[in-house]
Amino acid sequence: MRTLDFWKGVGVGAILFVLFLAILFFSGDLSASKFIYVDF
Amino acid sequence: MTLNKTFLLGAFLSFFGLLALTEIFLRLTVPTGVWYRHFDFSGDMTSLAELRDRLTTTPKEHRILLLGDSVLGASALVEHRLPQARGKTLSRVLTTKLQAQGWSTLSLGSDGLLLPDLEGLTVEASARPPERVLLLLNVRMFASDFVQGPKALSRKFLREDLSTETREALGVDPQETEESILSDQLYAALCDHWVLFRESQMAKTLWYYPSQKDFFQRFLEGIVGQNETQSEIVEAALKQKIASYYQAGLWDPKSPPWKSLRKSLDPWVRLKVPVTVVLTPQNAKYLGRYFDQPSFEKNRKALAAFLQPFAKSGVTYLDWSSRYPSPMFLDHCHLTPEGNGWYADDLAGVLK
Repeated sequence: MRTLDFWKGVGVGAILFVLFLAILFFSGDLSASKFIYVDF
Repeated sequence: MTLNKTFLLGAFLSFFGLLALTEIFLRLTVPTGVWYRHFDFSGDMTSLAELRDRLTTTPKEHRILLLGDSVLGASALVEHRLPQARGKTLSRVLTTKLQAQGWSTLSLGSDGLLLPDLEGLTVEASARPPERVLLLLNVRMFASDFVQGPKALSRKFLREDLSTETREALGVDPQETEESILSDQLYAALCDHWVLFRESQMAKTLWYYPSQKDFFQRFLEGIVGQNETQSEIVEAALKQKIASYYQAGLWDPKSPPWKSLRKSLDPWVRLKVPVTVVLTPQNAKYLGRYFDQPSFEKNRKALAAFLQPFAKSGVTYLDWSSRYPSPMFLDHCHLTPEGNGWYADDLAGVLK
């Protein structure tokens, strides 16, 4: 039972990691951010 | 599902284990330059760490450095909905031609780049000097809108590389608060020390390009089709935005951006690196009667006179602002894919 709980945790951790990557790669807009002033 | 200690331990190990593995993978692969060779990150520049990565991962031998603004990149091609825009940029076509001549190219051309940005980029690039530099100047770089104040620098992270004189001309951004300064510092620190974060910011420019709004607009156009009226509005808005660059008004060679231009050339002169400076082609007909030809001619002469003393130090200046006919342009300064081909051919000829 404890082993099964561990692997369930591993699965949830992996899903959370994918969600975290999605936030990193898809959130925010660089060109309009305050770090870069772009006018072309 | 029970949230017991064993479950939480599994989740913790899995999440942070994957995070650590990704970081190790990137730390091993980024220095080889593999990501920069396979993906075109030109057109944007998101952090100082990214810039340094790009400088250190390009082969040092027989290297040519390309500097300029959006004329090198894909923003105008993407905005005009041209397919495979990134394959038709001046940067890409010129790189192909120069590689055939044996050059290894590094393009630091980025949207919105201004003369103080060039000063900062030169400080960074001169630490690992190329064999040759191609600098494309655009009329907008000299516009009165960008002479001083916070808008005169497009990449804030280059500020630390600027001379005291240039930093003083930029002044303090009135919109800057303690929170925004802290936020900028946090962003810079994350880019410096966390490779996954740095690469994610760069990767974003592959899809959210030239902006996130444009990405979603393209997505919607794929579903409901393009709105023809909107393209007319977009063109009118662009004309309104750029009109001041070409209206009556003389450039002042004593103004801060010109001092930045001088500081962008001095290191190459000291290092004896030949520089080719080109005033990039302009489409005088785009703005119609709002284009002030007499000012334009005087400004061209002023720039030629400013650069003339550098001629004996290995700086070649070419005024190509009237080189191509109007149909070769998408707008005021960005060329069509065919125009980029011509431009690249001509530049490659000069750089032989």
